[in-house]
Amino acid sequence: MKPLLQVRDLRVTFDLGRHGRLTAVDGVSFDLARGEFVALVGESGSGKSTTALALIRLVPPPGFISGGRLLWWEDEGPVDLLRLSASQMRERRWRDIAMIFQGAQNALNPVMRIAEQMIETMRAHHSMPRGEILERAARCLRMVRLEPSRVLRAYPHELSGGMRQRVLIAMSLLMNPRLLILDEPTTALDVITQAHILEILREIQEQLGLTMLLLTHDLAVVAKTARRVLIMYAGQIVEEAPTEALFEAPYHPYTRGLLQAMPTLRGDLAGKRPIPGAPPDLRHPPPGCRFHPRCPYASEICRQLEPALEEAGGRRVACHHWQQVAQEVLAPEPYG
Amino acid sequence: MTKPTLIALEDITLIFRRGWPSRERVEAVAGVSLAIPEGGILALVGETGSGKTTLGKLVAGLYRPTRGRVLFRGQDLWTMDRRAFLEYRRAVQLVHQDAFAALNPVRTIYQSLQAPLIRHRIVQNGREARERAAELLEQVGLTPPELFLDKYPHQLSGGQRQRVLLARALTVQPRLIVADEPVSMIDVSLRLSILQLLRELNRRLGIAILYITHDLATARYLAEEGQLAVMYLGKIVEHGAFRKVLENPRHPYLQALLSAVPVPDPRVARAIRPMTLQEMDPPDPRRPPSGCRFHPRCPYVQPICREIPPALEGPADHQVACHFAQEIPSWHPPSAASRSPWA
Repeated sequence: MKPLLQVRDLRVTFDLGRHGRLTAVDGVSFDLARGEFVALVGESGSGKSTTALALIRLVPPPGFISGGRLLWWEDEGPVDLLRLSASQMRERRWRDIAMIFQGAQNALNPVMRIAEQMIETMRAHHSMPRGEILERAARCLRMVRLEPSRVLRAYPHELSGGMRQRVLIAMSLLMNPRLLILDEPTTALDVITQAHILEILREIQEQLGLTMLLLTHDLAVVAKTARRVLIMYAGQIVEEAPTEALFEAPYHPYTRGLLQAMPTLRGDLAGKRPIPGAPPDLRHPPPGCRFHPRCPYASEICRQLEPALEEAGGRRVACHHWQQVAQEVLAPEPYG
Repeated sequence: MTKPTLIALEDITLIFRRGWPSRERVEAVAGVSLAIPEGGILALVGETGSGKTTLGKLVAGLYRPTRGRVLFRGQDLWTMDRRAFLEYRRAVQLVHQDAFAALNPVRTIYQSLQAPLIRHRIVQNGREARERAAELLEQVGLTPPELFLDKYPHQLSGGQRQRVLLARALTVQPRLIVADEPVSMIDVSLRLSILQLLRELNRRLGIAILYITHDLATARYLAEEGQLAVMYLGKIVEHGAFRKVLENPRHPYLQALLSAVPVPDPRVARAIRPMTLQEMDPPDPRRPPSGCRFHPRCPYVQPICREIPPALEGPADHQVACHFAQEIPSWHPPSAASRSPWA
């Protein structure tokens, strides 16, 4: 598969003045291939949103990108997004890389009809006749299973949360971006609406061959959508694997812990356990492996030496004891 | 042996009126009857606008119903004498979703715990209050308590704050904890530990729990041995013994909900299609539809559904409010063999 974006050793630092410095994203590297559906999973404070904001160079101050490269591949070869001027970058946002921010469904302009908001979005990048834009908008709205005649003349408050989220997805598709980043797109929505939106995302991704990066805290959302998963903990990627392989046998104790801590509708509940402790304060990350204070596999080496993210049978994992973790997976139980 | 009823709701309706001069009427809860036995667990599941939080507040005595009665040990809450009402107020404690908002930011954890201890004369003096507060923190897993007593809420994590709220609820030795989405604002890795704590309080101290949530999976974790009530736009649409209801869900709304719950196994998750509804999104709860409130979305809708609201009917351990509860097809999870040990 052809690469679309290669993230290399990305670092984002927040300067907290007298409270010191905090590295929210600490040496993150991963690839996105063309037409791939990838999930970036992490809890609050893991650095997943900051990573995504760094990809479009919109890290809010006092944060700044303190290192790394963002290689964006075009037919002629790669361009480092971090070396572009501000105006060059602005041109690429929304056109090459679109992002739907968390809670953005509540950020639509309340006094503007949807049609006008879509026209405005489009005109910020292209001068195009109104009629043509509306035609395109209608096409995008149908892709997210909305009725254009009804939605285009509606004001945001006339639409439900799920409809507004779909309007945003349609808006992000207007300019045919090559990469669409979605930050917790279904978190505030009802369960039924969430399921339908996930279906729609999968459909669009397959139909348009778009590259999608889905940010979520919920592994169950990943199971339904992405083909590949990146797991983030305390500012670093700790595991990367194809979705099915990850659920069958996680290699990192944190991933394993997350799966074990998830209550489910069916199957055995007796094996469910929480992960002890809490994520670290990133101003003073623990020495060695950042997960060691919460890890049941931790040994002396984990307290001293930070594990690198290493190749492990077509996957990547950052754990000194991954082989042991991989072997200890319980025998599968039939569903239902 | 059935345990005596602690709290019973009898045909409760709550109407909010607002605005002038239109006096918009919103029926947030419409004819709900439920009972929670001493030491029992009831999971109340519903989505945004279902009225589940309002129902929780009715149980906690924070709203007075427009019609119907709330009975505490058989006595009507809103006609009982002051003494009995105070006893009820102690016996039923509400724990909110937003633990940060529920704690006074300029009070230490000890100060937050000490106030109800003294107010309700559970302790005689400061020394006893501190001892009791430390015991309570231990009970909710904040150990050693000395580490937490003099901290402020902002110095704790979300999970720890939620534990402090539970400790504060325990100060008055309640018989029922109304827990409204207690884990939805907490990190996934910490959620299970809060649910475990609630389960432990139920088993060890015999405290009954009304668990209000949108999440059927966490509801199962807590209430599998207890009851499940599913709420939609102010009404209970299905209710009964948790296992029994989930074995054979009869209401189309519950079936749709079950088909939409994300499953942590890619093979199964991709095999399940969410049930196709006439409308993906719920209607405005301020203007509930006529007849059966689910009818505009229901795939099995018939003319009668638009006219006549169905009653909640059936044996006590499994009741359904649907005109066609016996006719509509059953819903079963897909039989795709799971290869994931987590699902």
